[in-house]
Amino acid sequence: MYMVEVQNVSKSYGQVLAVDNVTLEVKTGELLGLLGPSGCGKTTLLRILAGFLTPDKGVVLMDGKDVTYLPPEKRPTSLVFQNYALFPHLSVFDNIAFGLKIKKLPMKEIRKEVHDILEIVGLLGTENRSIRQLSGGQQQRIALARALVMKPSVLLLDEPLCNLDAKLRVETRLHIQKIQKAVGITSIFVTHDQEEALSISDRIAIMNKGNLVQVGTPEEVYSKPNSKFAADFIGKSNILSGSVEPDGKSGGIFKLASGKVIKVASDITAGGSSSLVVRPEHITIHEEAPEETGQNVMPCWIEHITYLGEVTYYRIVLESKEVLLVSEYGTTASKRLIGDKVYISWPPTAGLVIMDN
Amino acid sequence: MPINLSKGSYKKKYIPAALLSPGLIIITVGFFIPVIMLFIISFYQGVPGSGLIVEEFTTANYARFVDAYYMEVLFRTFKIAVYTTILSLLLGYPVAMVLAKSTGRVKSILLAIVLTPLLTNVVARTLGLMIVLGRHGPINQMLDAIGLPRVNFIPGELGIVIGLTQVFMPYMILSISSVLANIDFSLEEAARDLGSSKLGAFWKVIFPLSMPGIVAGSLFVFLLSFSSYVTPRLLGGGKVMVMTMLIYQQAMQLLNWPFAAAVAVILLIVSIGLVTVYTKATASSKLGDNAVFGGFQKAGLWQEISRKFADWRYDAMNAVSRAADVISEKVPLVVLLKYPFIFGGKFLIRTWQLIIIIFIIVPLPLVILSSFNATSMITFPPTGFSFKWYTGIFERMEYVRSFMLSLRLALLCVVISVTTGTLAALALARYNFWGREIVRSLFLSPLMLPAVIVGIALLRFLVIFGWVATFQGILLAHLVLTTAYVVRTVSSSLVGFDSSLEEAARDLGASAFYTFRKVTLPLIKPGIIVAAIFAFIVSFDETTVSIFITGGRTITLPVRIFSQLEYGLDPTVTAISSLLILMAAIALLVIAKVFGLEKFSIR
Repeated sequence: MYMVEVQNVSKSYGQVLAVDNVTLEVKTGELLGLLGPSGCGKTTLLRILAGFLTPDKGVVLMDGKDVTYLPPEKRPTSLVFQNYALFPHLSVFDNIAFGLKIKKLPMKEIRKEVHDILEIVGLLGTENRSIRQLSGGQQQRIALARALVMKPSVLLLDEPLCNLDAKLRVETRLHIQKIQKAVGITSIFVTHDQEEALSISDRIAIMNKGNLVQVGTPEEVYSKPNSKFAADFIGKSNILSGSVEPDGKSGGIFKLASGKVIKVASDITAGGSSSLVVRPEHITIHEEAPEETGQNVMPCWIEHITYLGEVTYYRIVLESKEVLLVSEYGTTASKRLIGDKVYISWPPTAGLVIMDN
Repeated sequence: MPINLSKGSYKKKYIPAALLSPGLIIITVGFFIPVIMLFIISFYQGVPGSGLIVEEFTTANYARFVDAYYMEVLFRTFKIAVYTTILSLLLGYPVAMVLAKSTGRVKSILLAIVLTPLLTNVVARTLGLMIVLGRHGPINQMLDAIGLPRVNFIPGELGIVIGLTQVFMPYMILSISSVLANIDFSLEEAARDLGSSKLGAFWKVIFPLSMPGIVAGSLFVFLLSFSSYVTPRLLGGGKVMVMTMLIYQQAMQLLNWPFAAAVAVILLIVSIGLVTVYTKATASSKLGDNAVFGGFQKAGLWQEISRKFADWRYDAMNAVSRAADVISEKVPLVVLLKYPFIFGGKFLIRTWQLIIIIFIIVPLPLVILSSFNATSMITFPPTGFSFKWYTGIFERMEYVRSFMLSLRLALLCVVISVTTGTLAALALARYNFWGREIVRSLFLSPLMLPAVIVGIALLRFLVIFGWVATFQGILLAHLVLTTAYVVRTVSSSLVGFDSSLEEAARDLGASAFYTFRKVTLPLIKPGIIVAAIFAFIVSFDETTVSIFITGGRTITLPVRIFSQLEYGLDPTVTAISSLLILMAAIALLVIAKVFGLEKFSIR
């Protein structure tokens, strides 16, 4: 059962096509991360869902009903704004009670609802504070409370964490995820931060230049990116251009532009120009040449080392001049130096081939 | 190189004093001392009709004011100012909303419409109002056309209120729109998202947040109309007695200076008092809002009671509004009544906004239109086209003399006050010295004090030196005002000045003076140019203070046309006024080019 269905929705500003024929379904109770670089159309899509924009083309259904032309106040959605948009002239209580008063609930119920939601977001006792007396993280949670207290069918979050510092962002992220699961509310979470999207989402929808690129679980979009863009945008990737060539027994062969040949999984069939994606963590560094066991092994030298504590990144250069990124996890300090001659290897199955089109 | 600490600290004390002193001398001699003297004189005994003063302490002048007649004058002035404020708010708010929301070309045009009247001489504007509101003016002609009886707006209080509203509404519009423009647009969206209609979002979010602009604008308009002289004098035809007219009459006609001084002090105290009460009241009403849900520092019991009351009030209102919903569902008639407003609402508001914008600007083109009228009667619409009132200016030597006097004064004011004012603004912005805020408010105080009070204070002061109706006397008066404007304008352009630029220049080896010439001065140049334009306009247009201290052959142009209008409309005056309006328009264009209209601040 889908709570939100976006069907062939397009929206343009003058000449610029901000959302280009997007079709997307969001399951009831699921948290969907809408991920993309700035200007990809994700905020426009969110504003279409909230009712602040009307699409040029296409239909938006919520709970099976057409809401395409409903004004924001008539929609079963609540939006958590990027800058929170808390009313500075009202107290915490009045901010949360704002929508309940418009619903004309009796005051007794309003008090109870506000109390309950403040308990959920963990800010009981702040009712009489003014918004300016709250920290950024607290304001964020009040904004969430104000949206949730309306018991919307769909919760929309527009980059809700981007105004918080790095540490608080991780903390609040977990908090939002916990509340979302506890309340069981269908949520759409817009972000440009891939780590945020991976960690919090049930499914991720990747957008680029107004198009929906890929939709899938975090594991799917990371391990099986369907495009160069998705591979590049989510996580770190080595992307090598070339083409697939058939090879009888030992599996597929990928031929780089430089002429270098790389083994890939046998079920990959011949095709035109394409890209080979290898994640840095799938490549192993060896001091001595390892035994050939069907793996890709190649000599190379270290061009640069970035030490980040839990992980160390090596930029290595192959004899055929291709540059690759390799990551190595572990606490032991590296003995390797820039300029060292080493060997790298990876199994053919670690390589993912994406057809160019 | 050894560091000489003592030399540095010596310099630090010496430089701001040197920068401030030229300006401070002007403000002290031309403003501070005269106002103190005015206050002292108000406690002396005057001999009516003689201009003599008995220097003995008495409170008789104040006691005399407590009298049915004078109290009525005070009350009338208060009433006119309150009506003007309310009318300005009601008419100005919708325009402020358009101004805040508009962008690009529309915004520039709107700003020009709002700002041109502010830069135009008040006599010229009031002349426009005399034409608009006159017995044969466009409004009465329109009333005639739709078969309604004509209204005698002028002379009378109704005309004064409409006139003052027209004159001062731009201040209200600019205060409110500057607050509205800074309200985060997403707050309105948040209200919509939480279920508010567009109108509901306005009343619950935008309007309360615009309160600071309303308060500031109301204070501006109230104070300006409470203490204005020219507009009530001309639109009241001399028959509607207000506080400023009382001061003028006592000082200039009855020559009872101590009593005039006492009335001036009362005017000042009442306006300061009302401002304080108003500010306190609006501040506490905000606190009251907080108290609704238990305010923070309130005692427990009171908190409980006020919370209970607020809950009860909400539930009661809720019941009423739900009943209304039920009725409007059951009875389609109510719905039918609502619909024309829902569909016509936007159109009605747009029309209303357009009418007010026309009202703000229309007196000015009407003056220009009348100046080309062929007949000597000021009729609307004009009957024929002629340049004779323009050529006529040169046949009346008194106008030419007044023009030359005003021009000399204005040019001298620009040279002197731009120098002294810029130096003072630099000292105030760059150096931290004891009493800096006091010095700043001293410089700006001539702008806060009603012009009538500055006028009567200076009159009394100049008499001592025999400087009344002399060039140097008027120059001193104008310099006080123009210096204040220059300090204010240059200061505001120094506020956004990144002082690390100066540090960078010094770090690269520039001396302090070289840094000033090559970095500071070029960066604040736009501010200085605008300050110079202001100084010219303020001096050339200055009317109220000058009325008190000019006379004989030394009469400035605005005072000349004001005196002429006291006796009635004169077509030559329309020609001169048209030139003054043209001057304001040119000044605005230059400011727009140099500074940009958006940055133009009224404070």
